This record gives sequence, structure tokens and C-alpha cells, in this order.
Amino acid sequence: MQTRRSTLAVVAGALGALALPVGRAVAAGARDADAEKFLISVANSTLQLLDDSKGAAADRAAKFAVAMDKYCDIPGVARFALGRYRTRFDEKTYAEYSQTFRDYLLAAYQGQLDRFRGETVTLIGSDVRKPGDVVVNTKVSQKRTGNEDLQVNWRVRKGADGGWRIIDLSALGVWLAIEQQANFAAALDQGNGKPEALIAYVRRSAADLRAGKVKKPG
Amino acid sequence: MRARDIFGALVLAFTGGVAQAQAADATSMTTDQDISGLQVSDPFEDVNRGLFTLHTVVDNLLLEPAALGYRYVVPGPARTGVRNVLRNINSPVVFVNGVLQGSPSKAGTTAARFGINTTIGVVGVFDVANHLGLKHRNEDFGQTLGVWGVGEGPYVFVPILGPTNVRDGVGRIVDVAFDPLNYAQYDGDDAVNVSRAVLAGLDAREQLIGPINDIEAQSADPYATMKRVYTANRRNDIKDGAIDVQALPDFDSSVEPSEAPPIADAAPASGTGAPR
Repeated sequence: MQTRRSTLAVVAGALGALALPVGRAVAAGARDADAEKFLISVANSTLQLLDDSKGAAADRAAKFAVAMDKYCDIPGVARFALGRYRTRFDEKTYAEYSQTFRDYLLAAYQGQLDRFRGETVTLIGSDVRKPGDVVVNTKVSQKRTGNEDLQVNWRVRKGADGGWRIIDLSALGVWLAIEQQANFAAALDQGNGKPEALIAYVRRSAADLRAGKVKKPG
Repeated sequence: MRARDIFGALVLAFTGGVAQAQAADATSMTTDQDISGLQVSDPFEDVNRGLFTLHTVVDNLLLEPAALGYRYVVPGPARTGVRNVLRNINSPVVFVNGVLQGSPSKAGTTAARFGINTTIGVVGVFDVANHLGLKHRNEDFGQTLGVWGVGEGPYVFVPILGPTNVRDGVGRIVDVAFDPLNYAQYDGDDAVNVSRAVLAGLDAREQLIGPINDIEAQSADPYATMKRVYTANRRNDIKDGAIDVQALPDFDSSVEPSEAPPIADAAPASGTGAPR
């Protein structure tokens, strides 16, 4: 966000010495039509899938899982969520973690996306971070709740097989996978860095999400 | 003193405070630098955590039940009407901040919204302007300072009011000075101002019932999550939703064993205290 500072030049100059670059200028990057086409198609079909009231809830969950496995890089997100703690997990604990994480991610994403079931995702544009790593910007309608459209940004990445996959999404400035990484780091800190503590935490979270439970502090 | 002089004094006082906090940050051991790079300065973390715990007790006993009661008693369309009126009353503050940010389109849209909604929208109950394509903007002086390049300063958790930082806290105070309703004198003005504050609080807390429950349920450290979410929201507001994609972390960098942190690093840098 750039401003005209003509009338505020004196104040801005005084602040300049102390300013941190919070509001960085965002250079307009290139777009990627391929990534945009993938994302709009997948996002809309997934929201329609969640809105299918003909089938049972278990069927919807199963179909959602198939879509997530296909269109979301779950193993990549699992690895990303561990961050630098990845090396504390040996092969066995990592396999257990991966399976538990998948259950957790499916439960978390279905819970979040269910609020938008049946809504429409409209393309705003996209921004190429580097070739094969694109942020697609969209707005999602909220007709059921009567709220204004919500801007949702999706980060998609091209895999070795040439197919696009979703690796993260953000709304109101918060990126889910990045937030998960920070949250898992806190869980690991509390468990003295033990992988088993994180696995137990992720398993508990997945169970709570599936049961629709809300934990109260204290 | 003219408003501009008061404003100038506040800014200079504030920047002095920010400079002190930045000096403290340089030596603070509690700056929250998580792996992905979302850096939030929190030199007062111990105090903030204590205040957060206190707030959670008050919230559970009072604020959330009041918000749930408000949701139960007042139907959705009426709550929307209340929110529209509150937004409409706040238009002068949004307008002034639009001007200060050097954004004529923001200011103009807000002025038009105020005019349309106050008249055709029946003192703002109906957001007619929204249907005409004039979207609501939420601007405040904290964002204006951010647009001008002023850093956030330390994170501060204020019981009842919630998360903020030094810059945004000062911003809220300045916005009070921008709001004409705080100067107007008429019969019943105190009652109106108190009612407005109470309704604004209920409206804000009611909207946050779901998100706050999600944080409490799914976070290993709700204090830290709320701090990150608040900060991310504010940075997003200041940039009006624009994303700096180059600032995102690399997704596919694999960590070599030699880069693994030593076991001693398991001691929480974010001060999480006893394991849950």
C-alpha cells in the first residue's frame, strides 16, 4: 500500500527512522492460468460434494477424503507441519505421525470447508511465487449466512508428475499450514520434543474434531 | 491545542515508546520467532499470559454467556441491523482514516455509504449501499499508522478488550478523538454512548464465538495462537488483503540432519510453561 505523503512528509520523515517494513509493496507478479483453472474447478467441485444432501454423512466424508488425497499434497503438508523437528522422527514414528496427520487434516479441512458447502468460488487472479508454486486468489460466497464474500487464497504446487496440488490456504491473513506448523512446534515444546507427544496430540485433536467437541480451558 | 498538534504529540510520544520497545526487543529472549517466519514481538509475554488467563476466566463467566444470550434472544436479521447501525455510526472514523491513508476511493466510498445508509437505509439499519456495490471498509488509525510504515511495537493483551499491540492501542485512542459522537452533547448522550459501547462489545464477541471456540479446542497454546492470528489479521488489513508471495516460506525444503536443533532447544522459547 503506497500513500501520497505530501502533506505528512514531516511526520513520515520522523517515523521513517523507526519504521519496520510491515506494509511492504507487493509487486504485481505473473499469473498462471493453468493453476487458476485447476484450483477453481477443484474448489467448486469440492464445495458441491460437501453440499450433496442425497447421500449419508459417511459417504460425503469418504468422497471428501478421496478428493483431498487426489488434489491436496497431504504428505507434503505433513512434512511441512513438522518444520525443523522433522529429523526427530525416525521412520516408524514418522509413518505413525503421517497416518495420524492425514486423519487430522481431513477432519480439520472438512470442518472448515463445510461452512462453505454449496457456495461458489470465483477467481480473482493469481501470483506466481516461482514456477510451479502459485498463489491463486479467489472470493467465496457466503449466501447461506448472508455475509459478504470472503477472500480465500490457495497455494498450489506442481508435483513431479506435472499435476497441481493444494498445499495451503489462507483467509484474513492466516495461512493454515503455517499456523499448523507453529501449533505443532508448541505441542512439541510442551511434550519436551518427543514425537510420541505430538502424535498423541494430533490423534486427540482429530478425534475431537470428528466428534465436534469443543474443549474448554481449565 | 489544535487536533493536529494533539495528533503530532501523540505520534511522537508513541514513536518514543516504540523506539524503547525496539531496543528491548534486541535483547529480549521472548521474541516469538516461529519456524515459518511470522515474527511477533512479545517482550511482555509473562505479563500478557497472566492477563490472558485472567481474561479467559472473565470471558467464560461473563462475556461468552452474554454473547450467547445476545445470539439467542436477538434474531439474525436484527443482529445484522445492529451491526449495520454500528458500522454506519463509525463511518466518520473510517472516512478520516481513508483520507489519512491517501486513498480517495476508500474515503469517497465511505462518505457515499454513510449518506445512502443514513437516509434510504433508515439510520443505517439497512445496508442499502452494499447492494449498490459500495462495500463496507474497516479502517482505523492503527491501520493508518501501519500504512505509513509504523511498526507494530510489542504485543499487548488487554483483558476484556483482547489482543492488540502498542501501535494499534494508540490507534484506538486516536480514533476516539476522530469520532464526532464523542463530542456531541445532547439529552441522553451518556446513555447513547454506553449503549453503543455495550452493543459493539456484544456484536464483536458474538461474531467471534465460533473462531474463539476453534482456537480453544484445536490449539496447543491458545495464547500464542491468538497472538499470531491477531497479528496476521492486522497485517492483512493494512495491506487490504494483498499478499507478498515471496514472503511465504519454501514448502519443499527438506531439513538435513545437521540442521536439526539440539535437544536443549526443546525448552520453549515461547514460554509455554508446564506441559499440558
